[in-house]
Amino acid sequence: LDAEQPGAALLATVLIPEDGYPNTTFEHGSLQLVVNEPGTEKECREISLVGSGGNGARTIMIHGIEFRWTEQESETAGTRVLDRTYTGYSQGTCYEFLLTLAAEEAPNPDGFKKPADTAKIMRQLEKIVSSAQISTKSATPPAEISEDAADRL
Amino acid sequence: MMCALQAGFADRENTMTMKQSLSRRQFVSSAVSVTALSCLPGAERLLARSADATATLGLDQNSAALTSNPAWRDQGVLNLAKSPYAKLHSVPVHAVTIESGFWSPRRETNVSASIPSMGKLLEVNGRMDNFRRLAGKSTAAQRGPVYSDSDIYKWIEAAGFALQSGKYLPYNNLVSGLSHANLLAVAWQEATMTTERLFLALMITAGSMNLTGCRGEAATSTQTPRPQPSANAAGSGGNTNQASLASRHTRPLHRDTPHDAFLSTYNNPEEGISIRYPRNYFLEEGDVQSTPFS
Repeated sequence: LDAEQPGAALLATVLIPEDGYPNTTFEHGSLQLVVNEPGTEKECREISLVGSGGNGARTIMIHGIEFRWTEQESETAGTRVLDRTYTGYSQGTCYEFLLTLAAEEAPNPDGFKKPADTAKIMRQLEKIVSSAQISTKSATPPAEISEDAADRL
Repeated sequence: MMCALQAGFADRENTMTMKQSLSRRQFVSSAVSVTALSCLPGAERLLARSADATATLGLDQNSAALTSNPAWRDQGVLNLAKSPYAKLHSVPVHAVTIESGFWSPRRETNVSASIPSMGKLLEVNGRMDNFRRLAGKSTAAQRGPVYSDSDIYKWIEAAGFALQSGKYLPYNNLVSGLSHANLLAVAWQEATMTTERLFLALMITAGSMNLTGCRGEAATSTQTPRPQPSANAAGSGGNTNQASLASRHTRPLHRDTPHDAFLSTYNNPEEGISIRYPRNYFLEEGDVQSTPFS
């Protein structure tokens, strides 16, 4: 990430369970939340245009903040990969959502697997993006928590 | 209890089915008899003859000679070959079958979906890297709670039992998980996709990991010492699995509506952002070393 976007930090990755869509060609679905600061709003907007050729950027409003998004589709080793990037700027921070969805290109010839409904799965990831709430940053660190607090599995 | 299970093993039916018309009284009576029998001198020979007789009846699927050194597939949950004082003896894992009812479909799901997907998750979440580092094959930082090494022990145990039960496992997934771990780098190149070799590979892996319990060996490696993640680092972009686990436990979940009950919340006050996601999804906070399609 540093190589691609210096100053960017990956905050969290949300991963769809690999068995979330059993008996389908679904292979991978994830959402990554990245922040990039300091930066200008212009620089933030440019991020969403990288790789899209400057065309096709669309916008949505999420709780009053404009997010631009682009989508790319690629195919590698028999897997079709959908990458979607959302970028929004607020409080001097560029927020990015990187959505990745992968599915086998061709269903298994034995007929056991059905083609994954990528549009439906992508909508699940979209809902997560839509749930984003950006608020005033807090300088207060989270409360100290003992490592022992975590239950041993 | 293992001795008791031998009753089913030596029985002509030789399987434990849900449909079997064996009353509880009969089962207990039979189990007690065989338990007592197996504890007598020469019991192994006697039971072995019984097992041989079963095999001659064409029921060799679940039969196994009760030798002191059974083949891998005929071993039980515990290998007591070197335990001279053991009074009870294991039956082979494959000697017990569940053909229908409540557990059978769940066991199938375990084999067809859970074990393979768990193998992938162990890789994605850095559990394999923790062992790779011990073998000098990775410089990746330790990830996960200090006791996360037990995740792999459990997975290997599950895969091993499934193979002993004669189950088909999606080999490619297992092979992928193991080869990525680089724990069997040389041996694996020569291995073919036979059940026996896969099982042996699993056991070799277990041996190379020095599986002696959930002691956090991988996590506490001194080869690449690094500071333990602090709770203060939660959500700040660092490697904060431990802290994030703890913080997730303390993070209040909003349950305003029935729909919300299925959602979890990721909240990062330092960056001023929160998102909500389905509870059954996985969350990794901080920098993830690698994702399959990034």
